[in-house]
Amino acid sequence: MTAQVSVGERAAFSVTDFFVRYGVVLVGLLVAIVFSVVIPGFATVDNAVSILQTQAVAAIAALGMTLTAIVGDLDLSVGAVAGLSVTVAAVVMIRFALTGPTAIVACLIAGAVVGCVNAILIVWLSVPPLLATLGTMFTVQGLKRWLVDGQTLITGMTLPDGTRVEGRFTDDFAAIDGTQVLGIPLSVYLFVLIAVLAWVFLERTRYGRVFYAVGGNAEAARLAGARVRRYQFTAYAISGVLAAIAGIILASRLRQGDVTAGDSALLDAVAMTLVGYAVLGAKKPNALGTVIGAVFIGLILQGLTQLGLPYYTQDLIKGLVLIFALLMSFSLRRRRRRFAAH
Amino acid sequence: MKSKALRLIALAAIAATALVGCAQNTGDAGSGQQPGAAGQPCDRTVANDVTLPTDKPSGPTDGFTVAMVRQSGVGDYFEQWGNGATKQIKAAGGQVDVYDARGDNARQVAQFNDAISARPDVIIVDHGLADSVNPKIDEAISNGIPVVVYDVNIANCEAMYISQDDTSIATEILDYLKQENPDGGKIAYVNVSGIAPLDSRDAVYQQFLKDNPQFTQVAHFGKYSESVASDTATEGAAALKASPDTTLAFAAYDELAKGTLIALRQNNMSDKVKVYGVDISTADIQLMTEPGSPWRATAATDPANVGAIVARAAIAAASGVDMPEKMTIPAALITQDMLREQGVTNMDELRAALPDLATPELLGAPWIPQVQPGV
Repeated sequence: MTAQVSVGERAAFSVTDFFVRYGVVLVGLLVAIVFSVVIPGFATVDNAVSILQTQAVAAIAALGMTLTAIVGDLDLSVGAVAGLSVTVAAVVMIRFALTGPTAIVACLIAGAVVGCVNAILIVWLSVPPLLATLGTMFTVQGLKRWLVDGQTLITGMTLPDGTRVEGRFTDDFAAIDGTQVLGIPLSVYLFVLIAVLAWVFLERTRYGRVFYAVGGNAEAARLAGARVRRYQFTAYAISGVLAAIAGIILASRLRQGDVTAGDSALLDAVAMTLVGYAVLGAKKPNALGTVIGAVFIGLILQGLTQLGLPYYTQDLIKGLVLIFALLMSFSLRRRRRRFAAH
Repeated sequence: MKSKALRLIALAAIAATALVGCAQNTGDAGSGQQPGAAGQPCDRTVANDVTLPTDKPSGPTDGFTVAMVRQSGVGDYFEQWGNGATKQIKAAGGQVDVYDARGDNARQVAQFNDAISARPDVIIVDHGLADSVNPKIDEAISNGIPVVVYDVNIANCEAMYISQDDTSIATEILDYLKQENPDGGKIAYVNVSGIAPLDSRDAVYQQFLKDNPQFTQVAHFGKYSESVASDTATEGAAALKASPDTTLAFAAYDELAKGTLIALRQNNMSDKVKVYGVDISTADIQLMTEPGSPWRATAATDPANVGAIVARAAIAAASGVDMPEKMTIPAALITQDMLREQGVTNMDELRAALPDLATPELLGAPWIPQVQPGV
């Protein structure tokens, strides 16, 4: 046990090591193979695209959450912000009959504002990150209901003051999740683009390395000349914007101001981010891991749904998968670099 | 390290065994229901053909007070229900005090207390948890205040219990489904278990499948969560991918139907699948009449009309009429063709276009002024 004192990441080969590195990927492949055999039509491009499209919303939010997890802790407000986007989009287009681009800008601004509020609470006012984002989560959930008096906003409805709303979700806005190019919805392209940008930013730029340095040891990073607070602030602000983008896709899919939408994206995003810790033995939040986590969870949910399992068994299995991934990240090996959140 | 992992697995196995042990200890008692426990709903006799006396009873009428103890008054449905009830009570010369718990079951019980202390002539209980409101209903009745309950299966048979007729709802819509598709079809069934009205609809559906072998179920989904429509859409998109030959969908209430519509759109199946749902609201009308909408029909009661019926029951109870133990309100069928032909875009226009939605004959009497609910 204590023989492997060399360097955490480059320990001698062992079965455990192999499992820690490739466990999630192997289990994912195994699951994919089993489902492909059991479910006709599972191993098709169409189904793969469907999985990506379904997961795009929570996965984009999870990428933002990954950024905050690197410098601080999980951003628990992402689901609420995604839901806020749905409401804001509906208010802009249905209530005020404005254009799709206006709605997109309004959603992004709303997301950025919530992200900045998180950042101010955490960076300047020293509230612990998890608690700060929990607080904004509740506030935003209330805010979005307050904006529409708790009602689902839909074209043709009568407001309490007697006026009828005549606006509708515009075609260009609906196209985000509805239009396909080469058989793939635009929302999936958007997801892939954001995933690649996040990966390049974190793994291939100096800024990305500083992000990890800030998360690893803020004091050391500060002494090395990094503007720690600025990086922390940026992470939470970006997370807010990404959650808003996730919400824009969701709104484009639902095409109604559903006040409850987005709430369930939070747990999915947490699961994706945490499963990401276990991918390739990273043991830290990382963009590639989060994307693989999203695909992994999507694969399992898609297969189980197609097998006809009721939703509550799926929640159970999602939870077990998450625990399995956490065990691989935190428990299977004693020596690890301490990048993870506390 | 490996031994540690092994120990962990062993521990989990032991824990699992222990749990199974527990389950067996308690599982022998019977098939789920605990018999004879206090607060169990009584066996009610349904009396849908009940009529009120034509002569005005002796009880208080002018300036009588009604306390309306509601689980929630928020949202399209509940607002219409409340307006329908209030309008009927005011038309009869009564006063309404609304106690709206806004979805907080504990607050509803506290407000129930306030309602009893205010000594109204009658109390209406609209939704709530049966176990929470049961003791308060007993208290009100022992204080001589009659109680009319909507959609809570409460224990005290002296309180009148009114609900939608879920069997008629499901029968109505499935009959229409069969009428439109006499050759049968492959059904995606969208429902969740464990919720009383949805379970009643499920029973009708299962019988329908048995009686009509030309219909087969090829998919089953539906998610009851904090966001039913969007989560059901996510599930539906996956389930329908595995059953691309689906031709019909039956959704047991409107949020599930909304999710089904989104899932069909996401899978480009909107032109291949006909959707049959339950419930109606302005939002639902919009979705049904949208160009290319696959939602063919829905079976529903008008919430404003239901509120007015409950109000009439309360007025009669306050006037000293002996009310039946239970009454159910039948549903009307609303088709996409009818909505489109008549250019209906919201509930008000629907009431004008489909007079069947209003049922003034249910608990109507010459001494209770008629109202047009929802206008």
